[in-house]
Amino acid sequence: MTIPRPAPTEADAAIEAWVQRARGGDLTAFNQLVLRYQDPVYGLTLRMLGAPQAAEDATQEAFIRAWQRLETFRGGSFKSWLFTIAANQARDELRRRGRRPTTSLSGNNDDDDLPDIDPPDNDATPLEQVEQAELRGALEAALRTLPDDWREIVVLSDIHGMDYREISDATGLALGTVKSRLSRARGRLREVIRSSRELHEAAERLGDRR
Amino acid sequence: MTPLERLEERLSAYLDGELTAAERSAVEAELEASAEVRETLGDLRLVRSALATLDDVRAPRSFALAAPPARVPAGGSLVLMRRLELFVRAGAAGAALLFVVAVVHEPTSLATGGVADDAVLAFEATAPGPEALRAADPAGLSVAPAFEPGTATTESVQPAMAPAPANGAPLPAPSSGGGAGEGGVMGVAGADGGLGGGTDGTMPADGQPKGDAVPAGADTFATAASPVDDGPGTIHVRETSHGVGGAAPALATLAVLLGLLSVLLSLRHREEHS
Repeated sequence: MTIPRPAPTEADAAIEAWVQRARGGDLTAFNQLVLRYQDPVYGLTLRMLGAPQAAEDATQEAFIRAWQRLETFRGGSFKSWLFTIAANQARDELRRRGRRPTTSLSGNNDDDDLPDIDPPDNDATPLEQVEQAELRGALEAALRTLPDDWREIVVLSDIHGMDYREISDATGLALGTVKSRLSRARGRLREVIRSSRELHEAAERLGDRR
Repeated sequence: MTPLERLEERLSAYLDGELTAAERSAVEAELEASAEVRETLGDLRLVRSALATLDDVRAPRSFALAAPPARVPAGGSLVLMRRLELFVRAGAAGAALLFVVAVVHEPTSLATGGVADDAVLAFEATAPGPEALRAADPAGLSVAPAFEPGTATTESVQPAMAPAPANGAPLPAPSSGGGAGEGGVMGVAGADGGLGGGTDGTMPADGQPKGDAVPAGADTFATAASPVDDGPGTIHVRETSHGVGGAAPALATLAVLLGLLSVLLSLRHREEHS
């Protein structure tokens, strides 16, 4: 069972029009698509690769390939199609590096590798904002400790909103594999959430005693 | 898989609406019966919603394309084009090597040995990656006995100077001018594409230098040109007619032609990505 897809919106219609024009050789239209999707594509490759320069290279190459292969786009979600190309690009880069999944929870990350992310802007109180920022930081760090093939799935699903079928198409993995890797990744991240919550509860108890 | 992992998998799929009706009912019964299951579901829901807030990474620059790269023709023949290029490069390098072996062959001469080694070094540096190219190396050397003195007459006029290229500039890159970088990229790119397999990513990352490889074309020109160069440290070839002696010019011509073809393919490729 899957969640029904939302009805096409005006934005979808604009994207479809840009795709059609780009297919006809209109680079300006294609660049509209680039501008529309470069943030999430860069975000995906950055999280998969962990290094800004490698993510830039992968992003640029993904858009070049997208242009070259527009004829192979058969409709549906352009974003999913583009993400498939970008994820393949990042996966190839990981393979070239011969980098194996970092399963250790100890983490070993340079500050340079941290994504440039704005803090959440919402109606939360200052304390809640601090907690959210801490949680985000903890989640970012935990994401980087996941095995590459788990991280790719959870990033595609929970950060970029792709469903199991789309992820299966993008990665070439069976639906069951997508389901289990996503669950394992979330399970690992759940430990981070629990630790974070226990830390806050301990801090609150300390505060109450004073 | 532990019982907790199995539970998390069920709950994770439940959150995503990826369960069948029967599975969903079973999970809801579990939720009803167990506070621990409810807590696990709450945690997973929190993970999911917290991750959803991490979608605000900003691209550091615009990735808009300045010029349209060439499109891949139907059937993915760009990969075939790369393979053709690789084949041409291998041919050019092999022909150049055979030419050098044919020209300088003189088993007892230190000078000749030096030059031949240099040629092999240059050849290996020229054609990185594909085993096919390396395989051509021993094949090229094994041809040497066919060029024994008497079948072809070649002579090193300045044998004492011959090792100079090996000590000086082992790779002929500088002589190849602007084509070297592009050719080098292509050489590596071709190998990359061949090994990539399995994903959309069989095409190499074009236009981004990934190594310091010297193109076969450049090598071909440099090695083919050296026998007729009158400068110190080079070898003069004196052709005396018959037998295999006629093979050297033919090989040189082949090497130059393949080299030219290789450079043309590189230029065409460069246009695609400019």
